[in-house]
Amino acid sequence: MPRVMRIGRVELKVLDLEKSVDYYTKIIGLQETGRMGDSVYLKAWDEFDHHSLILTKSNTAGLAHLAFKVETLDDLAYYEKQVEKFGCTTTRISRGARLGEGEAVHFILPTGHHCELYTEIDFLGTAVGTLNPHPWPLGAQGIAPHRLDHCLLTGDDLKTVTRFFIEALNFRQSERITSVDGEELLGSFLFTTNKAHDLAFVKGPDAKLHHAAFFVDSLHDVFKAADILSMYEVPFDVTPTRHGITRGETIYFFDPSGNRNEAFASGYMTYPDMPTITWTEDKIGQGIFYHRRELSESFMKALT
Amino acid sequence: MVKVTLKARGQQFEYDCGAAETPLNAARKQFIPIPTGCVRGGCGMCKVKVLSGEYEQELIRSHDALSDEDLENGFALACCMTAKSELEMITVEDYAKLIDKANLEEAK
Repeated sequence: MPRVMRIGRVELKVLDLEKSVDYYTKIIGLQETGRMGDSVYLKAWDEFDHHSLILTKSNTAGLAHLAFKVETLDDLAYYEKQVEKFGCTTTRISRGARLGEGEAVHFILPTGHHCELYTEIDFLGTAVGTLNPHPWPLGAQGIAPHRLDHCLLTGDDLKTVTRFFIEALNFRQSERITSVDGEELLGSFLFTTNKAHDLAFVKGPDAKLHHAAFFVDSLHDVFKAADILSMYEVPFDVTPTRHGITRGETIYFFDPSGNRNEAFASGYMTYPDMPTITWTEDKIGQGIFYHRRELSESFMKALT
Repeated sequence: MVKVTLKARGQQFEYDCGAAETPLNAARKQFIPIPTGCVRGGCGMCKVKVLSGEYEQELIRSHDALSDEDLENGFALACCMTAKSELEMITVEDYAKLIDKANLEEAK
């Protein structure tokens, strides 16, 4: 069975397009790669595809869609059937509907989020290239993450959405949060690569975004990201700490539309045969914030 | 500097708010537990009903958080508004409880 390669792009709804572009280029440090209609396309310096983030002007904030890249057109057709077999309706998004993209398969997740699969997208290359490359580009702006890393979404029926990703898209579950008796699923962390998570869900209202995360190398880079965010007076949700879940090092903050971003470092590697780690609800505080060991109201309730 | 009366978490708070700051910011500086989220007009956690007073609401905001109808009915986002006079406001959580209680009384 082919694997889905990775989370390839997210499209975020933003309230003020130019202010958002300014934030994602100057402070996050992504590169603008094109514009079409009310959308601006961006990529991180270490990504080689045309874009991993699309900002689209809207009168609400949140997630417009997220998409996973597969390796071949055959894999795309295979997973299209898998999604249909699971019971989700698929439609084809035509080539050229968005900048730099080929055809995509669209469907709505059991949690109400718009999701796509695709394989064709224009190639731009990384900022350091592929011939005798330097480890990082000189003159990078802002946080300058390597790549889009993962998303956390909220939804009501986490058992079904987990089953969807495992059965239809061949993902695995690295971690889960359950009620103390193990009956109820409150959090689900899913992967298709060797990362601790490529996509995660926590219990909450359907179709909402909790955060979109960008990958930085180390705890030092998380700390430096925090310094940069303070220089630009970006509002923090959570200052640098560690997650029990994924063991990642992290900081959370808000974009100009209130969409939560994360700068995420480390986290363990996964393999398809790893056993799923379980956190019970009574230990969720340290599962999420390993040092503080309690949740915060804003982290639990601020969603877009 | 104007006086703000805020009902939040079942309590009433009175505090001063400067012309250049938001009622949310002024409350937090004085350790008043106003629900706070993104402070960018996106998530709606700081949504309040303004019971009396003049204010200016930033109009670029998420319409999920504050719809046009909300705006007309005196709801506001405490993170992106400024007080133009003495204000009396209540968080939407407390407001919902107040309405429930009033409906219950009426039903008696």
